[in-house]
Order: sequence, then structure tokens, then C-alpha cells
Amino acid sequence: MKKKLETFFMLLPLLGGCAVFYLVPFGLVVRYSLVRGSGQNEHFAGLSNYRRVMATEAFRQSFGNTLKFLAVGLPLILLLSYAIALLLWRQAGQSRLVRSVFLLPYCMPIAGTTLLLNLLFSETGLANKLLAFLGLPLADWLKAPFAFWVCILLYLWKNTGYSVMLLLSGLVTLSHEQFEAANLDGATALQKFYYLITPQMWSSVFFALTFSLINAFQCFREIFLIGGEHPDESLYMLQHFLNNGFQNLHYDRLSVASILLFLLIFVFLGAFYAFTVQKGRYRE
Amino acid sequence: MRRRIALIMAVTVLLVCVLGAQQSEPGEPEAPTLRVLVEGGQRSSTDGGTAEYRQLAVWRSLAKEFEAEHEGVTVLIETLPTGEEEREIALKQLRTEIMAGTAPDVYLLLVDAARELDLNVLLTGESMDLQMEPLFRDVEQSMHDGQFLDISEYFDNDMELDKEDLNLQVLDGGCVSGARYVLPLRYTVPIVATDSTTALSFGDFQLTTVLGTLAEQTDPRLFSDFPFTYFNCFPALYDYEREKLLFSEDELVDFLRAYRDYKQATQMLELGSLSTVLLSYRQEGSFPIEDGGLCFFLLNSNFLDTVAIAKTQQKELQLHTLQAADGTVADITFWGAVGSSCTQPQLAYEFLRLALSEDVQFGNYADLWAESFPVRTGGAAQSLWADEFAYWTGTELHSGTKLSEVELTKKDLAILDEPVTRVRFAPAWESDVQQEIDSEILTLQSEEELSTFARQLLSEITWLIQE
Repeated sequence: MKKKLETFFMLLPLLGGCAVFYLVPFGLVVRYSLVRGSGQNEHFAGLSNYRRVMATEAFRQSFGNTLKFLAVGLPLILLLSYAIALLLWRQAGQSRLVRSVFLLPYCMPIAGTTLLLNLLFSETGLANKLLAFLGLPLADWLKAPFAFWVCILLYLWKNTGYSVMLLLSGLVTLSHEQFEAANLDGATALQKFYYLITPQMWSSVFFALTFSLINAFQCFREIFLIGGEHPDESLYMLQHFLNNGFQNLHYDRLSVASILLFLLIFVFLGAFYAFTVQKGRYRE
Repeated sequence: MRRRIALIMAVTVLLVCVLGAQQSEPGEPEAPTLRVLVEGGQRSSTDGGTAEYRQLAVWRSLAKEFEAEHEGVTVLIETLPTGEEEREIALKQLRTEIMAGTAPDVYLLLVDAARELDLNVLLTGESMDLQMEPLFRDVEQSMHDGQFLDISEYFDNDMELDKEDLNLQVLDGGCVSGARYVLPLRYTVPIVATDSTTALSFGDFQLTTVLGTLAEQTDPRLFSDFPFTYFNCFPALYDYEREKLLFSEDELVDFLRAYRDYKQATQMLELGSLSTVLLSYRQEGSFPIEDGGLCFFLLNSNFLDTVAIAKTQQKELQLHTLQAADGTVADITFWGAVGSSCTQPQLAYEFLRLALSEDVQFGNYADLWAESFPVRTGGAAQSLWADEFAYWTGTELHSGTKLSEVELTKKDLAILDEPVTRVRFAPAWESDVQQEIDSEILTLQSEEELSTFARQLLSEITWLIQE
């Protein structure tokens, strides 16, 4: 009992911090999503705010684009980083320089990333110079629907290295004995990948997925610097809707959008977590 | 031992947090403080001069008077910075305060802050080409969203306000469903000046008709001062109550077609500016409104000049408002409101109503407001001419001309009493849409191109309002 109490007191500052900086604001956002007006004009609006927001074209577009970005970006980054991590796995102990290089884009300041993007994809950028050299028609990379794919490219370039490190840290914990036994049994590389590596990697994949998801939302900073408050339609993300909603003092709308986004992420991560737990049951 | 130390530290941290968060015991009641938010601050111009809102001095002076009259009350004049970065930070903070219910008590703000500052530039006559984001990007929407307190009770019972001298039609623009949220303080309407024959040929001065005539106009000199923001000639754009766009594609296509023809016609002409024409009057004694000519104004020195010139030369001058489909539309340039989180609405209203007083609307402070009508229209004509106009150009351009002898009366500016059908607060996105129209209009040749562009604009406008 005494030990439990001690543990509780030890955790209390951390829990208190979480409550003050996360739970209370979250509770406030839930409240804002259910009321209209501010100050003394505040009145309960219930779910009508949700109906209004979901009927808004701007919200639907931003939500759709965000989902599209996640649906394209997340599988790509996981596949790419998993493949790279597997390639680096055997040399993980030796090639520290390579690992550091992978993390460089992740550490690059936003201003530098935006500058690089402009250097490559502006109207007079390297991509268009290359097209001109090949005699192909020039493209407006940062404004037309191409912009979406440029941002996916940016996301992959910037965050793959980080996911590689996360997956690599999972790979290096795999027991060598298992692979030696598999080799003795004459297992092929594909069999080892399917029956040995992947089942033990689900927790690391879940971890990498969670961070890739967070990084996908962080990518908005670059998107905002490229396209401003109202970028090309294909790049209009949920964060644009939230940001513009705040500037237009539409607190109810931005709160509703935040809650819906939270629910989506919660369900998605929850489902993947359940999947990971189920896959990890073999350990028991 | 370590565990005990850690435990003691954890408890200490918790105690500090709890005690820090605890509010101090209420002792003596705090003296009431009014937070008043106005435009202000200074901004350096490119040539080293500085600009600031000259109105700032008015609010400071009124605050002192108010404090003297209300013992124990403190009025804090807070300013919105004009520097880009400082303003962005201040706006973020204020928007968070509004969300948290700790916003300023009184707002006295401009719809287009950059324009007013441009007109207020000190030490330099150069235009500063500023862009300044307003705190409320769409005042009308904010009224519907409950960002301001209903002050109907105080306004309706205010017997000292001389309401008969106020333009109540314009003032009612601050009402939503019978509740008065905003007090419009200055407004503008686009004015057409012409002679009676031309006026008869127009009937009412609808925007598209006028644009068509302008395209055929023979005197190109009078085209250039075409200052209206054309949205104030559109029908109502949006129903904020039902959240529905009211403007149809056909109406927009009609406007775009007429505007394109007007732009094409004016593009081919060598245009002089109305100011040049007015200057030539002073030198040559000619009259700016030639027979059959049309001249467009918002309220400014040129407008007052033209009215005064007509009076000195005994020329006939008809003034009409350029109309939208539903009549004359007044654009609010300057407004005031009590914030929704204000806990002393009576006191806040008492301060706010000072902006409707003669002292602020004209008289001592009249020269502080450029290019808009005071909502206190009673007595405004003499004031506009004697104070406002004299401040801007009187000393330089009137000396030695007959203008220095003329006096404008209520009869000369009867346009101030024109009925106003609708009142609007131009949302911040309008200038961007207007720029887009101006940059594309001459490229739209076929009807199909016009329709596509109109559809795109309507979709953008809906989007911007719904965000």
C-alpha cells in the first residue's frame, strides 16, 4: 500500500502536467465545440455545430485532402523506411555515418526546407529547367495539383530517415539465434522475413506509424510556407481550415474540426494498436 | 533515503503548483477598468518618416475626460500595432483572449486600417502601400457569431444622444434580429456627379448601366477617379443567418461583362486624373463636369471641391448614389462595439457613445477622419467643408481662389440624407477577390469564359465565408 502511494505521488507531477496542459485544454475544446458565441453571449448549441461544419465545403475539402495525404504518405513512408531499415540492418553496427546522414533532413530547419523546395520546384527552379532542357512543357509545381505530390515527396524526404531509425532499433533487438536456427532449417530470405522478422516487428511498426502520423501533421508548416493561407485546392489541409477558422474567430468550427480529427486519429491508431496486440499474442 | 527526497520534492512541486494557481483572496473591491482597443502605434515608412493614427490622440484625450467624469474608473487604451510582426502577435493574443472570454471591453476599429493609416501618414506624402489584417475579418459575421454584446437597452434609453441628428438607417446596420451589437461611426457611399440631362437618361444609377455608359463616354478625363469597391454595388452577397450565398452566377456574369467592356474602353484612352482636372479648374477656370459627363467619388476632397466649384460657378450639379440592385448601400469605414466578455456593459457603452458625440464626429476632431461621412449627419455639411476639407487641402489649394469664400450647407450636400437601403461591413477577403477580378477581367473574352470565372469566384467567396 505504502509503495503504491509512493508511486502515485511520484507520478502526480507528471499527471498534473498532463492534466493542465493536455486534458484541460482538450476538455475546453470539447466545450467550445458544443457552444456558440463567446463571453456572455455563449450558449449551448449541441451537435448543430458538428452538422454545420460537416456541411461546409471548405471542411470537407480539407478533411478529404488530409485523409488523402495520410493514405498516400503513411504506407509509402512505412514501406520505404522498412525496406531501408532491412538493407541497413546487417550494417547497423558499423555504418554510424550513414545513419546520421539519414537523420539530416529531419533536423533541417523549416526555412531551409522551404528554400530548397523553391529552388527545385519554383517556376524557374531546377525541375522546370530540366523539363526545358528535355524540351518538355513546363509545370507549375507548387500551385497546380502537382503541389500535392511535391508535398508527399517533401514528407518522405524529410521523415523517412527518422522512421528508418525507429524500425532499425526494432530490428537490432531481434535474436540472432532464431535466424541461425532458420538458416539451419534451410529457410529462404522471404520465409525469414515473413515468419521471423515481421511478426516481431509489429510493435516497432506501430511506433514508427505513430511518429510518421505526427510528422505528417508537422509537414503543414512547410505546406503553409509554400502555399500560404489559401494554397492550391489539392493542398488545402485540415490545418488550413483550423488556422483560418482561428483567424476568423470561428472557434466553434475549429473546435469541431479538431474533435473530428482527434476521433479519426484515435480510431485509426486504436485499430492499429489492437491489430499489433493481436499479432503480438504469439509471445504469450 | 533517495525515495524520501524524491517524494518530498514531488509534494513540494505539487504544493507550489496548487498555491500558485490559487487566486488571491478578494479584499477591497477592485476599481473598474475599461479596456478599449483602438488602432494605433507607429510605423516607419520607406523614406524614414513615421505614420500613426491621428485618432489615437482623440481616444487618449477622451479616456482622460471619461476618467475625470467617472471617479475611480480607469480607461486603458490598448492599441493594435501597425508593424507587421507585432500586429500578428497582438492579433493572435487578442483572438485567444476572445476565445477565453477575457477580451477588451470596447472596440473602436476601422474596417480598412491600412487605408486610414495611409491617409494619416505623417512627415511624408508618399503612399505607404500597407496591408494590415483586421482583428475582425468580417464584422457582420462576428455580429452573428456573438462576439459583441447587445447594447440595445442602453442605446434605446439614451436620451442625451440627439438621435434625430444621427443617420439611424446606417446605425441600424449594426443590428441583428433586433439586437444592436455594433455602432457604425463613419460610412461611405459611392457618389455619381453629373448634370440633369445625363441623370434623366440613366433613371437610377445601377452599376452595370453606369459602366456601360462610361464605356461610351466621350470625355475620358472623368473615367479615372472610379473609386468604388464594386462589392458595394452588388446585391447582398451572403445570408449569415442561413449561411447561404445570395448572389447568383448570372448577376455576377452581368457585372463582369459590363466591367470588362468598361475596362477595355478605358484601356484605349489616355486618361488624366480628376485631381489634374480640378487643378486645371483653378488655373483655367474650367468646370470638371462637362455636359453629359459622369464623375465618381467616394467622399473625399475632390468631391467636396467639385460641389464647391459648382457652387462658385453656379453650375448645375446633380449628386446621386451609385446603386446596387436593392438600392443604396452604405459601407461602414469605422465602427465601435462592446466586447462579449465585458462585465460592465453600461460603463462600456457610456464610453462607446462618446464616439457619436459632436466633438468626435466633427467639430474639434472632425479633421481626423478621411474619406467618409459621419453618422451624425445633422450639421455635417458645414463641418465637412470647414474642418475636414480645410485640413487636407484648404490652405494650399484654396487660397487665392473663390473656394475660400464659399460655404457648403446641408442643401449642397443633401446626398447625406439620401435613404440607405442596406449597410455593409466589407470583409477582409474582398480586396483579394477584387484584385483577382482586376487581373483577369481583360482576358475573359467569351461568355463561357465569363461564366467559368464567375463560378470560380462564387465558389471562392463561399469558401472564404465558410472558413
